[in-house]
Amino acid sequence: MEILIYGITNSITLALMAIGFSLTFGISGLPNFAHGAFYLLGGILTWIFIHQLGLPFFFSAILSILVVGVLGFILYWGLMLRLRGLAINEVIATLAAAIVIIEVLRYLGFSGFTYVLPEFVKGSIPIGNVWLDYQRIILVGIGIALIIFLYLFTHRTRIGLAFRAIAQNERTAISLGIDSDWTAALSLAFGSALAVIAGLAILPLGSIDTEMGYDILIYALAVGIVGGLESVPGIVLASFILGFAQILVATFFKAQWLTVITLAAIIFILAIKPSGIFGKYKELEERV
Amino acid sequence: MKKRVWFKIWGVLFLAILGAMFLSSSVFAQAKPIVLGLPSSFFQPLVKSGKIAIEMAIDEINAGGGILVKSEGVKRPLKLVTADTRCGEPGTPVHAALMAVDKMIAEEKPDALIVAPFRSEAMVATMDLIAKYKMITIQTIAQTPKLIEIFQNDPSKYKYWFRATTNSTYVGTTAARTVDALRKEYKYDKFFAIAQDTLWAKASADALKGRLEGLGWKMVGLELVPVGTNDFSPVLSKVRGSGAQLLYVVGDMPTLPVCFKQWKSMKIPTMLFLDFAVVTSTKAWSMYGEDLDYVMVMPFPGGTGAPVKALPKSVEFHSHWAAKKLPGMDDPRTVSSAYDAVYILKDAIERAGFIPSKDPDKFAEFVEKTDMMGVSGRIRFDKATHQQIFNGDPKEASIIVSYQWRAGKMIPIFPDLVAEAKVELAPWMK
Repeated sequence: MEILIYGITNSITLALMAIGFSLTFGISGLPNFAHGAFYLLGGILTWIFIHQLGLPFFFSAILSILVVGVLGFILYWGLMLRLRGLAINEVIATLAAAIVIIEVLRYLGFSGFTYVLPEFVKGSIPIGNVWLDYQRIILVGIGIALIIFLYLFTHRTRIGLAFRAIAQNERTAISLGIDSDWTAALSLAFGSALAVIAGLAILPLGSIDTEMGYDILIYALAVGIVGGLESVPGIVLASFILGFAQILVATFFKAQWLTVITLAAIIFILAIKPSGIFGKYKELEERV
Repeated sequence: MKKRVWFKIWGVLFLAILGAMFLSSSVFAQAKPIVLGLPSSFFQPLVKSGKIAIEMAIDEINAGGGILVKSEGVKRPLKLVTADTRCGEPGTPVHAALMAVDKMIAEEKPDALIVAPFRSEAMVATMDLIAKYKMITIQTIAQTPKLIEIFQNDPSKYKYWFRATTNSTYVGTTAARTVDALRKEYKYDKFFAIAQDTLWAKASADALKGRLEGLGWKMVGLELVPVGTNDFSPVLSKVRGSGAQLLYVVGDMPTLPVCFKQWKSMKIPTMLFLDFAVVTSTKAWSMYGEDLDYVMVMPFPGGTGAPVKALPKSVEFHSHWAAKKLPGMDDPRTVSSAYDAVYILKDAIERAGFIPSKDPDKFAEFVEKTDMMGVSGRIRFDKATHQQIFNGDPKEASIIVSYQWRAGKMIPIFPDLVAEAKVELAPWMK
């Protein structure tokens, strides 16, 4: 029972970490390696709004989501626009942006354990004979709500449909009047905002530290590569595979293999199905 | 006539200016500060907090006019100069730290060093610089017993070095004795260890294992968790299934708070002894709140993270800290010792009658004879090791105090001589 419950919470946590990265890549083909840095920045901004400006938590959270979303938007117009289509350059540029953000935050002293975000609700309840804290229950709720929202957004709204149109065939979408740059910029903004939402749900479990900027990127990449970088269902499935794999390994073997199992999954998937479980990009390229 | 009057006025003015110059020069001579050098890694929270403590001590001393240097017949204020050795940052080589110390000594010409490099490896290498420059050093961070070995290999060369804090051997022994109180009180004898998968944390777990097994405990499990682990539930499930009554957790990674939060939310049936410096000062409650309830912690040296009634200086120290509205201690491990280090120097200067740089060889003898009350108890140095003496009686030596978090307070629970309450079981353990 404990494995089932904590397997689910761990899986949803991984899905939250990866979903913003996957959304941006799936829509605009942009590998946003600054994803982890935005996750971190969102957490620190929220902390600053609460503790330095005295704003209430929910207002601070919304403000951080907006600020980081706008930063993602600016990142596209300021940097990525000139690099569209140059995959390696896009990776280098976003990774450089990530390093700048993380190292500036480190320079400003945002390391250590002072920076803790409040839990939505404190305490825990028994589910069967397993005690689970409210924060993880809310985290699962946020994760599920976000997945449903993303599905509805990309299938039922004009912007969402435009996102998918660009992802499916950019030239045809442009010929129908969809502005690909605006769509890509919006996807980067959305992906960055999702990184902050993930942070707001996950960070109250521990404390904020600059190193997390790099760790989150690795987890997001692992989930994305296993599931298929552009596929939301793939992300969900990969999160569950990795989430349960981590719990099972830690329970039946040794916890020190937690990271190894995640990275081994990347190598395994890249060797047998480079597009990921539900990914299509590489397969399409191979067919062409 | 007018000319003569003007001549007199100008003459008086000239004499007045001369007099003022003379007086001011003697004032400056009086005010020439004694320079304390602080070469350490300011990336580390414990050094940042330690620097605040040093500045507090300097402010207190300077407010009284400074330190009386008998041979000069004046009171001289203290001045702090710093150099960032960066040895607490990942990937900084030892030689970079050494260069920072060397540069500071050459350029700032401090009269003595305090605190000194953070990382033990850097501190070991710094010993030769201390010897080369004959620099009196009251060192308060690095815990390795290796420093004592170096000193003992050539005491005449390294006599300028003094460690005014604990060493890792004594820290480990005190931790074992603290949790052994649970065996005596509740007949507990099984423990489980969770260590961050890094060398130092593994070494701490191994050391505690050796000591506790010597006291009749049995280790029923050891789990190493990778840095960055943010879900401890599978490991804690193992703890639950192991029959352990005590859980020892050691590490310093940012996600470690997840562990004690889950220990509480999953109601793991063990007592928790947390070897995690961040939760060893009263500030931690503002960050983690009631998640810390019933957790046992051990800041060192004694009285540094929270006051202890049996250590009057610790009460005074914390009330001064609060009165000055200084920021909370992110990591208290060198806070009180750095503060005491300044007073150790003050005491030695007053007894010697001269400053450390004037005659370091002779001054070392005065530091060796230190016998004063500090935050952690009675401060004395072992002549054979130049290590501050620690045992369980604050009237005889310095001590380490273990606490238990209860309702926002750190309650001293060990050693018995200073304990203010007995360790209390978590509600789900009763």
